[in-house]
Amino acid sequence: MERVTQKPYNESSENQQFVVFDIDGKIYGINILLTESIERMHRITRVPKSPSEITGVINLRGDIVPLLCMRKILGYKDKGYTDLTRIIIVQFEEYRIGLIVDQVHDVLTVPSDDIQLSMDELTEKEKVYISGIINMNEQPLMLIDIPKTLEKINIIDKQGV
Amino acid sequence: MNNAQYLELFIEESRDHLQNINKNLLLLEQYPDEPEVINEVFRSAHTIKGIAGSMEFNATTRIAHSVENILDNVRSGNLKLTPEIIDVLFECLDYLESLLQDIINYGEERRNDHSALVSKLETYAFSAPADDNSGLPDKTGIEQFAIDQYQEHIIREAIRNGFNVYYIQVSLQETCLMKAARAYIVFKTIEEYGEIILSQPSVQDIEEEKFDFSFSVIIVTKSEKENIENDIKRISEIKSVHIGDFDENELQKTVLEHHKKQETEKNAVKEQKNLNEGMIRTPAKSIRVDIEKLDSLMNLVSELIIIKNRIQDIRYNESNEGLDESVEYLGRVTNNLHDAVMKVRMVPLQMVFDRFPRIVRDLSRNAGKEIRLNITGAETEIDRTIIDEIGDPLIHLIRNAIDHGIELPHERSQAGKPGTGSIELKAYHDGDSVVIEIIDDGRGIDVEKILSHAVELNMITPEEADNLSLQEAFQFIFEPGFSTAEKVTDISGRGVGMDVVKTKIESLGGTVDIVSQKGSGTRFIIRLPLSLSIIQALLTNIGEEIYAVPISAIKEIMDIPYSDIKMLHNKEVVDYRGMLIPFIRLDKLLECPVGQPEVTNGYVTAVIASKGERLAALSVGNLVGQYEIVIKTLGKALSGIKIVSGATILGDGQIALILDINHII
Repeated sequence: MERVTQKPYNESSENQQFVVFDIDGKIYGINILLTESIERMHRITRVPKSPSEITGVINLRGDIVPLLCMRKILGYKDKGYTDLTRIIIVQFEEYRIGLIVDQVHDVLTVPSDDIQLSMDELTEKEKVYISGIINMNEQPLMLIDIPKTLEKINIIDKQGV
Repeated sequence: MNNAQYLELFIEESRDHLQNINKNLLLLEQYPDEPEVINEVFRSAHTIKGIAGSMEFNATTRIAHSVENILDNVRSGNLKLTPEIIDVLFECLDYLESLLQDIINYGEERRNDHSALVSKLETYAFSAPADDNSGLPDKTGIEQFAIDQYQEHIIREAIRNGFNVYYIQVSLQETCLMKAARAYIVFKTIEEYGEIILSQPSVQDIEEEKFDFSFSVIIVTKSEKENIENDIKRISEIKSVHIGDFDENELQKTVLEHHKKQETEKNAVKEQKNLNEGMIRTPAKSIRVDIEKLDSLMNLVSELIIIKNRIQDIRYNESNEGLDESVEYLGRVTNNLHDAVMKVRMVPLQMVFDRFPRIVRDLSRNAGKEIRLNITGAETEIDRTIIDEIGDPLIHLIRNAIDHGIELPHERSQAGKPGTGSIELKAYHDGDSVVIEIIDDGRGIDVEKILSHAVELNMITPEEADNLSLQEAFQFIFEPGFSTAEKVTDISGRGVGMDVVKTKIESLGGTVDIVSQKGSGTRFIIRLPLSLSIIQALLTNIGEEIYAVPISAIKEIMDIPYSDIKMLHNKEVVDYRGMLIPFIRLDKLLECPVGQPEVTNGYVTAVIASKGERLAALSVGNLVGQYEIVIKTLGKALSGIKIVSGATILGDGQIALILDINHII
């Protein structure tokens, strides 16, 4: 994965790092500061009466961590898990959750200036969960907005069911 | 010394002493002449004064000093302890508490409005007329010393060898704040001249400031008494020094007297003990431990139990006698370790209950009612995390009892009850839970009124109201916004609160039940788990999944013939010992992707689970067995899921969700 915009090093622009992953052939990124680790698939335990985006919980070295299915959230069909399927563990405020993604690539360092905030090319569904776009060679890298995602599927400030 | 570390210590200690004062002031209201109780308050006030002084909390020092003076005057007979004075003392206590709150919140005393209180205090806190031997026995000679035969021997030897034996009596000034330190300096000075044989009170008591303002020592020395006297007088904050010769002839008499005195003292102590039974608690030996350290210890024990369960599972596959024994031994050790750690985390409910006498006193006064609070079982122990949470719900229930439960004195006499109402607070262990009951003998709950109110609020139809059991009808008072109180007072009646009480108790894994009879009183029964982190649970298959049901919620496990399941109001019910209880199919309720297969032999296994008085039969699949499980939370992201209360990790690393019976029944 290479960067397209090779801007000369600019002191005023801070670099940001993103974990880059695949969902249904499209590429997405998460700010590395929110991620804790990347895990292989675990045995999942279903949680009754939970939102449909929550696949279940896993035993992550003795801690219980709920998993979100990114395919479902972004509106793709379920296609089962493969050897490449990974769980990205993210920690946001008091929420510690795992995101199930098709495949994880690598970590990308981008100057903040390269992040576009205009979202004209996005689908309606994507607009909800994406906070910015970075233009790559062939296709755009879409940045997942974790707080907004949690809010949207009613995890944050959920009071009773 | 204004250091965060000392500050924490100061806060902890002050809190203990303030609570002690509170408790003993309440006792004083009933027994105003009990010297031991007065002393107890005096000592606590004195300690607070001392530690606040060293932290430079001047307002606290000032008020505590006044309290001390008042009690000193009472003790010396210069002041009679009237209800007004006790009120003033309570006022001081409240003020000290709010000062402490300031210190907790801001690290300093913010309030500055104590001038009114101080001037009120001045009336009573006049300094007692100077009394040289205040606090000392009247005797000033050697008779005051408790000399045993060993010391007698040393003294005789010393005199035979040409030493001088003196007794020295030192009085400190009453303004002296650090008495122990001052006494230490005096001791050091005296020791430069010779050897101290005996001190009265004992050195340990002096170090712990367990003396008033004077102490005496017997010293063996070659020096002249004038030199010693002058040296001691040079130390600051010394009020008087008295040095006398030790008369050998009196020695024998003193020793004999001491023996006799010991005998009579023993009897006196016995009597005093009988008198004070339950009044004064001698502090147990203890250390303070940060709760977080205990939590991490508990976590480690939890991990150990998980590993033990895992090894146990492996053992079933490959049998080996040596391994079996070791595993069983490991099991016993982890169980004991778990029990020990649990016990460390346990604290007596007294910590919470101690606040109540004062609350009842103040609230009943305001409401113009006479109420006697009777507490039993305060020594019942419960997990520390529960203690911190249970205070508010209990206070709420007590307030309700005072405000709505107990009638005004004239109403009570009209109803043929004694004018003084009673609230009973009872705590006891029952199996794996702790039960707290709050019982009042007031007007009770009017079921008719609750039901008509529920119909008014469209919560139920009139027909449904007719079919409800008493227990179900009472549950309405836990609904948010439900209040049948005709008037709202500042204590209660706004309809908020009872739902919070219930939510709180259920969040602790407990239940609340109500028993009430119109006209004769109400009884709230709160049932709480002993501990929050490790429980006994039944593991069972439901569909293809595995779930844990807390043993504490299970009454019985039985096979029910399918033909016994009946329909009532569109709901399945079964007959359980002559009682119709709901039959809940867990696989349906939990929306299992693979349901429970219909059993061929016509029986279904059911867990009879209870939530307080309410029962239900829950259909389950194959039972796995009873296990000790470690409760893990599902994390904040899933806190909205009420049907499971947590999860546990099984021996093979798989997760089993723990069903929350409170939300299923």
